[in-house]
Amino acid sequence: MNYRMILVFILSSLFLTSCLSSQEIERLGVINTRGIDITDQGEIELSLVIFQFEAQSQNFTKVVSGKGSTIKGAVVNAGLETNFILAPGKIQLDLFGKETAEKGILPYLDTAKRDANIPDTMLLAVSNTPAKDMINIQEQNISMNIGQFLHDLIQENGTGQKFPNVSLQDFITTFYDDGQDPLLPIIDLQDNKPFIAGIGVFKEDKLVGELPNGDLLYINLMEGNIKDRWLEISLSMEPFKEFLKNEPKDEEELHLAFNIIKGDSKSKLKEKKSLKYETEVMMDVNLFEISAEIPLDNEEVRKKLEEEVNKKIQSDYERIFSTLQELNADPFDYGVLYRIKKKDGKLTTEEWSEIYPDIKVDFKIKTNIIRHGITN
Amino acid sequence: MDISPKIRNNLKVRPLYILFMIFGLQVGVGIMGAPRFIFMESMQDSWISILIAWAAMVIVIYVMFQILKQYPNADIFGIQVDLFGKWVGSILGTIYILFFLASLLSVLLTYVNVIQLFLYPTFPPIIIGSSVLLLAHYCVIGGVRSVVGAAFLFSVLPLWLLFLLYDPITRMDWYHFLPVFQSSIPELLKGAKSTTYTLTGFEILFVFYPFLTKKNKVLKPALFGVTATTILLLIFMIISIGYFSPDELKKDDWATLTLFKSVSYPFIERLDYIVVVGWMMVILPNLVILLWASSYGLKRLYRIKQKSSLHVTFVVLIVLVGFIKENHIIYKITDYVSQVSFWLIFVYPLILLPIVLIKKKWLSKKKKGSDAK
Repeated sequence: MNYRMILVFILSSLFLTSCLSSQEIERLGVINTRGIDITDQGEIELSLVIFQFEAQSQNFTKVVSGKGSTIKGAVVNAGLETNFILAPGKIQLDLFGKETAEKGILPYLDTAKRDANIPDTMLLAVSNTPAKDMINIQEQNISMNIGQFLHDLIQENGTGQKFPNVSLQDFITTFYDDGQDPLLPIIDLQDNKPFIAGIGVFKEDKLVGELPNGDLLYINLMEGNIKDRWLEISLSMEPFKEFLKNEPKDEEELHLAFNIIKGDSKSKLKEKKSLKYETEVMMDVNLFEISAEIPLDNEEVRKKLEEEVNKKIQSDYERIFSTLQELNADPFDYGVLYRIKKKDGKLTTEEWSEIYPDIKVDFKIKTNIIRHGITN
Repeated sequence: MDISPKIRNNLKVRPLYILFMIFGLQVGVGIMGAPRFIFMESMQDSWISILIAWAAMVIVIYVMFQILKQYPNADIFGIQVDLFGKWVGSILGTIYILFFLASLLSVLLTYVNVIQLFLYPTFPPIIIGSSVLLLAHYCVIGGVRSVVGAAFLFSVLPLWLLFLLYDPITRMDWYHFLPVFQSSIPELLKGAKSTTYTLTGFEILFVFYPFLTKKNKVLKPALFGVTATTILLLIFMIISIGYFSPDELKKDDWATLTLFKSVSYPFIERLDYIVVVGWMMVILPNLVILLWASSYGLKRLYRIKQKSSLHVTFVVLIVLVGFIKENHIIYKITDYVSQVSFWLIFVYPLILLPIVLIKKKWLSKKKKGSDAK
């Protein structure tokens, strides 16, 4: 290879760079969070939190908004508000207004799946207020960029567990799986500060109901293994009255706080004909806090306590499950267990919607108190 | 022409390298989209289809080896001329060459398509195509040894990508495999057939055979080559079934690449970009080997100088890549190549073997007859 050839190569590699559309970071508005609402006219209203890297500006983040009949159209419209090119490659969170979520969010996710530029790791959440209001919160209240804050809020609460850490890919997979319905975290405002207010229950891609945020732990137990989580529980004092060492007080309830060392659950279809399911929840716990002194050294008392805890958790699960049955949403995947027992292994959503309200689930809780700290 | 080409000893390589030639040529653009096409036919039992395809490949490789064994040092071009005479043999050989070129075109088009889809929608195809092809062209100019070297190097180097799969593996749902054995036998066979495009490549044994030393030791590495590809395909298939829900997988054209989309690190958020670019290493052996095989075939059949045929193919391919940009035409070409390859690669050797054996018997009888006289 002679020098002339080498020169040609070097020159061509210089000129070839112009084949790509340049994306200089100073000219990009990197979208961090999208808030999606539907206006009364049926248009999509997008509120975008963008990062901009401009020497002259003090603020790194900016909120822009746009309207359009498609998401892409709304982004273009929002682009008119800013002197930056909006880049969707690093979207971390899609926030849907509650009304939008009730109408179904699949159309907005479809474009996200179709566009190879949008990351699959993007998280999804529902906002109790219109998404626009959530995104326009003043930054003083949270001392950081709202998009980043919401993303971290969800992710930190979901660390080591599946929920409420639901990515685009998770949602889509659950949506398309027969006999499974997705859940998404619901975020609300309290004194102008966002917090996780509850668990949005979806039927297909539509928001149909809500569970209180106190049930987060129970949901996580159903989703898979959990470790090092706190369980706060209140039992009736009645069964323990006889064991109380001190003078029996007037308190009606016994409050306990456990640390779950290991928690797991297993469901199975017991009888296919009568649709009887059994769900076993197993927990190894350490007792950390108790509001009254009861002699836990006593084998009998400990057994009693475990029993009462089991009963309480069981009734909680039954309450959650009856709500879910009323909503006809199946986030606990009982449909999957039914499907794999079927001969052809296929189950349509309509079929399962008819069967689901009639299934019976027997919740069996096994709590095992491993340590109870200082005993007295 | 000579039925057995005379290959100088310094150009010959050890039989082990046929493993990398086969593996390098088989693993390419096909594997990027294969899970979807197999899944469409045989659903959650797709992994069985792949095992069936593997068994078929083992049989075909064995048959190919038996054909080649009847000659001291021949390749497919020579064998066909020997069996069917100069004219028919040349036509059949030309079909092989055209097939190599068509596969080359479809690989190039598909990769350009993926680059445009994932990275730069406005990047002119002719530029991507020519820069990749220039690399392959340069390698082939270096001769057969550099082709083997490239095949070896670039089949080993991209293997690190497999480590990234740990993330989709942790997200798999094993219930997707249940209930097993739902697909009927025809469905499983159809699924096995849909692997054809991905698994073509072991036909290179027919062309490369004269370049190998120690002919009796060729069979084993060749079988290892197809087995390695099968394992790779099986890994991607199983993860895809577990990771995607059925309806989703049926829609995803590039399932294998999508698997990498959920991998993310604080320092590299979008690993899928790197995977798409890194995939160039995966397809480079494809381009190099196919380019070499077609130019070598032209030299064998028509005594065209390898360099000049290389230049011509290069220009023709670049022009084609520049003009074809519609997705559906690319799919059609790929589909066409896949159809042809099924007959040419899986079925044709099975027909060829009895002809070779009969001819050999007839010859030895004739020889015996003439000896008796």
